Amino acid sequence: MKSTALQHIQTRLFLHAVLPTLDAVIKASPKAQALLKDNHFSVCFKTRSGLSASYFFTTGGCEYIPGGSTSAGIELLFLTDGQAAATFLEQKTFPPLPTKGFSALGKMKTFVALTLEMQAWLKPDAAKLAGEQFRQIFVPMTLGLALRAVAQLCRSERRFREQLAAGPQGLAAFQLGKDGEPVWLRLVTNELTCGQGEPADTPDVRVIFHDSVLAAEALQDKADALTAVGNGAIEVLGLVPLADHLNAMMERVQGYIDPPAKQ
Amino acid sequence: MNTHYEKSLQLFDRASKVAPGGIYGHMSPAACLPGASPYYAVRGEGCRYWDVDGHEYIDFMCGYGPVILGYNHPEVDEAAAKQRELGNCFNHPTERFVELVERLVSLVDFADWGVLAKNGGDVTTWAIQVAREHTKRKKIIRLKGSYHGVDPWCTPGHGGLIEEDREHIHHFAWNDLTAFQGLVERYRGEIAGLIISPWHHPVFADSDFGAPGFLIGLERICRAEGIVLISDDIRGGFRLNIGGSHEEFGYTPDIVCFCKALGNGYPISAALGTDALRVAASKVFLTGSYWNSAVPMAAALKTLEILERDNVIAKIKQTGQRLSDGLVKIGEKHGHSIKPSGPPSVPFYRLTEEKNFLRQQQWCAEAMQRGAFLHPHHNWFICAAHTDADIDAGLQIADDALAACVKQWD
Ligand SMILES: Cc1ncc(COP(=O)(O)O)c(C=O)c1O
Repeated sequence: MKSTALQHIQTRLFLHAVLPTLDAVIKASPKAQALLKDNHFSVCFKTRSGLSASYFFTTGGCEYIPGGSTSAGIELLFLTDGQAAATFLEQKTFPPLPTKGFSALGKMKTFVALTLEMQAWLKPDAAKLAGEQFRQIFVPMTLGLALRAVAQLCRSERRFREQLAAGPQGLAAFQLGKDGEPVWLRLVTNELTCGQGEPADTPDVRVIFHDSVLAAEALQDKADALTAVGNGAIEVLGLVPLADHLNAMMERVQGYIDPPAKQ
Repeated sequence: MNTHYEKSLQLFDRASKVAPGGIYGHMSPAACLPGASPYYAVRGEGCRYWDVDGHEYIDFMCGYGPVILGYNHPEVDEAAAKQRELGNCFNHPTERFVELVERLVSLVDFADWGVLAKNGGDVTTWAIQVAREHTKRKKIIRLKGSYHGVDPWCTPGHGGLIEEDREHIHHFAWNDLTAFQGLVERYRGEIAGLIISPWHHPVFADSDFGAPGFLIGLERICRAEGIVLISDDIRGGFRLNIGGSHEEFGYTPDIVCFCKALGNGYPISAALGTDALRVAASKVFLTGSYWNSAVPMAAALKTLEILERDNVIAKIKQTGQRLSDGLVKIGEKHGHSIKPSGPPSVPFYRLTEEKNFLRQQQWCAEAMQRGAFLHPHHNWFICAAHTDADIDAGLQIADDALAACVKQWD
């Protein structure tokens, strides 16, 4: 893949799949909440190539609005997707150009601190992962991110669109525990939506992780899922190939937002 | 998890410590009914087998196809035993090789030569190489949702693949002749082969026959464009027509691939082709440590003999029809329509009220628990050992199983 195309995808994924995770992070993390105490702000990222998203931060969470919002307090413009991707991947690059909210730019320190906190949640160390409470948050948070990313890629990437068209389509729901709140993705050509909570329609496939350790491992590509399905730790009900197909796409997401060192 | 399958689950636990996935591939519990189906078999007889928990099943999968005469068929086993006394694996093939290939060539109308291997995928992959060698072209066309084995060009799995593996593999939808024509126009002069099955038998979906003109239309285009037509008859071979299922559906391929039913459970597969491809076939290297083993060849010779002698194909068609009629009636009785598709001896059944297979999975799980192995997602297989009484016993179980489900659903 050409590096400009890759950078465009990476930017899109960060704007629309990774950064929206800040909502779950703020809700779960007292540290993030403390950062935002009496410190509410909003920021809109734009790229010259036409990508944009806005985020409104309060102690209660982060509202993500796809597209530029005129009401965002700060507006930052990336001149190239490469610059945006490098920024989000924490590689060396020029800072984006502020086009609005110069006086509020200091808030971006809070934004950076929030993204660091998000990193700590998304890439936990072993000690953190050992906690049941942590995993109960980590699993749906990571699943939500992966599903948003798949939806983005299917919308924007020819190869993913082809993969989508070649495989089974439908509504897939994933949850931790029988009564856990599902995250879902409707994977249908021309209708790629994802969300949290019980979907309005009956899912075509429901994947239930009965064990949070295994779920966390599965999301980090460290689990033998075939065994887990066989011994009941993961239950897959309904259109199994849809879950399988989606799983294959989710695995590919990682390569974009956490590329191997050589890339 | 269901304690009904306690020993299966215990064995699986042991297996998964030493084998990735525990059980992999099409027999993985993940592909059937995890926790609600047997995982390990102990022995079989006729159309029945017993699992490690001691449960008996009337089997409607027949080992996923190979068992066409019944488990432990005495005559086939005797032929195999006789050859085993002489030897199985040598420095050379035995006369059985020559006899079996001669026999196959005599059975298949268009065939001038044949080769033998072990598994279906051995010969489908080899066949596309022959097509490429013969035409000196790169591209292979296949049907969406078709299955041809686990080599990188066609595996339904995701792991270990690189984009280049499929760079020259293109798909079109079953019964969409226009789409095939479109591919031919787009890649004119680049297409080496088209691989089809005689009817469409995907998993998690109804089976589908070729619409009028579809298969013959494919053949005509292949002839006009110099594309090698490969018939993957691994699923249905010897269950529909002793000369290959293509005869049943009125088209003539250049290569046909067989496996499954050929050896009644002994490991053997075959590809047969036309004279025009003989030189190319001779150039595409093929072999394997056990490909010349004589025992499976002796078993295959005996299997073919019995298939003809006992008119097995007509019989399993009738038996399959009895099952189909019975299941449709059971569906009507409970107000949950069951749709048969595909040929009666290799049928697929589905509850029509849903697309997600949730109820189908419950129904099949109930049937398994009661002693009939009904697969919820894959086509079933009928064998010569299924008597009318076995079918009726299977139907009774299917009926009871659906009744138990309906209680929960309605
Ligand atoms: C139509 C078809 N082609 C190819 C294969 C691959 O055969 P094998 O699993 O023996 O390699 C199968 C196996 O089920 C099949 O059904």
